[in-house]
Amino acid sequence: MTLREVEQVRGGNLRALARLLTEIEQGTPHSQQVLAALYPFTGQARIIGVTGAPGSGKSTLISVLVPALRQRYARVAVLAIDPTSPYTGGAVLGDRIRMPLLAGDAGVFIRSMASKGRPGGLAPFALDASRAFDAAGYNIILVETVGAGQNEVDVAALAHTTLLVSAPGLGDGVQALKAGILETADVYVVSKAELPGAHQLVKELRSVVELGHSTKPQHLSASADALWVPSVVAVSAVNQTGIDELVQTIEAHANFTGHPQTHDMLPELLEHELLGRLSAALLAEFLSQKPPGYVADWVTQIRQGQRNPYHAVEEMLQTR
Amino acid sequence: MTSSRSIRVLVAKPGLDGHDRGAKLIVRALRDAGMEVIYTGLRQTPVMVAQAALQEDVDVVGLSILSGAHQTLVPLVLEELALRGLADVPVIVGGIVPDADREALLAQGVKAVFGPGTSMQDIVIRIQSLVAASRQEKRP
Repeated sequence: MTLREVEQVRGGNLRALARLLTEIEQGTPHSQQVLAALYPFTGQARIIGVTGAPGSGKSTLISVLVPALRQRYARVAVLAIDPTSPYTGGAVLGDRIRMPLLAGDAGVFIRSMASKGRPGGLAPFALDASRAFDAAGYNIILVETVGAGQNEVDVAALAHTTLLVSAPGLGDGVQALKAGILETADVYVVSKAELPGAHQLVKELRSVVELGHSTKPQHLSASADALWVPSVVAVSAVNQTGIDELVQTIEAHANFTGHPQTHDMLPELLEHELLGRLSAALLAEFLSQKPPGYVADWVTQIRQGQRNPYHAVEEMLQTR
Repeated sequence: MTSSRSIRVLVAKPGLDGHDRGAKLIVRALRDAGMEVIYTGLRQTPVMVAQAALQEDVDVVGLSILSGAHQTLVPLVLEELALRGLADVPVIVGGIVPDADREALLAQGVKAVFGPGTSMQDIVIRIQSLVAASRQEKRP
């Protein structure tokens, strides 16, 4: 059963890949088995994170960047993550709408994902999905996320190269870029470069960059002392300018970090992944030995004032 | 931990419709019903619609057509879906479809045709039942 999916995904069966991505989203045990079997075939792909505020032009940027990348890479994947409504659990996954030119290209795979409240955040999903794409032969994987929440910072840490996109006229220029996400960028992209204020934003970003180097841990297979000074690139999708420069900058960063070596993830990321998987597995095991409604009963008792949420966990652990 | 599986719906506008006000209403209603909606925007070719359905692993393909070109476009979309191994994905059509053309669409395999004035609730319920039936069939 598992072997069939492995053959299909590696063999270029796109429906099998799409289905695997769905199972990864749901967190099924089966998907974990398939990923375990696919793992030896991963490690070649490069992950490029694309992040920025809503309206900053990320999707449009991706729609012009991907054709340029396609000239160098046979297969490019885009994982577009949109926010989920906290009230209804539904989502409008609309990033695809900005990428019509990519839609006919068989070498491009665009997948939309709703961010949902996930225990453990977005990063485990993005990592699993990237490995699925990797095993299916997608050499370059763009992961697009919104905003600057902790989730997005975690996803950015997974990427080998992170692009932070900002548009002129969105507010206070550099002030609008929050700390946290600022520190994770390898390349600052000023989108909509044809608009007034673009030149000013480029200058502001360059002065921020001059204040120091990126503090983001670099995925290095070369010397650990080397520093990357983030680049600032202005791109106009409308006028088709700056795209080649952006591709060259991405390539330069790839050369700087060394191309991904098989399974050579940053130690802290791997540790984070292992601990995340271990906690999920331990929790699942613990709950599987409990009757249905176990947690709900605890919740009721706490709400009725009969129990203390802090002591609750201690008591639960004593029942292991 | 396995999360419950949301319904993923592709809302696509094949052909040359001039606006998408109706489609956007549907998109919002489906989102408010807890579904994940992939909306493609205007001026999609049948190939683009089928590619999106394939990559996004959708449960339902919804085609919104106002231009009157449904008799041309729907068979083309169905063909592109079949070419990609997606003949088992339910397809529904909404927009301006004269009653006389309804039967022909249903005969080709379209599961439902919704005219203007259909309530959002009806569409939501229909999608939920189509997906439930489809998932039941796939259970090993």
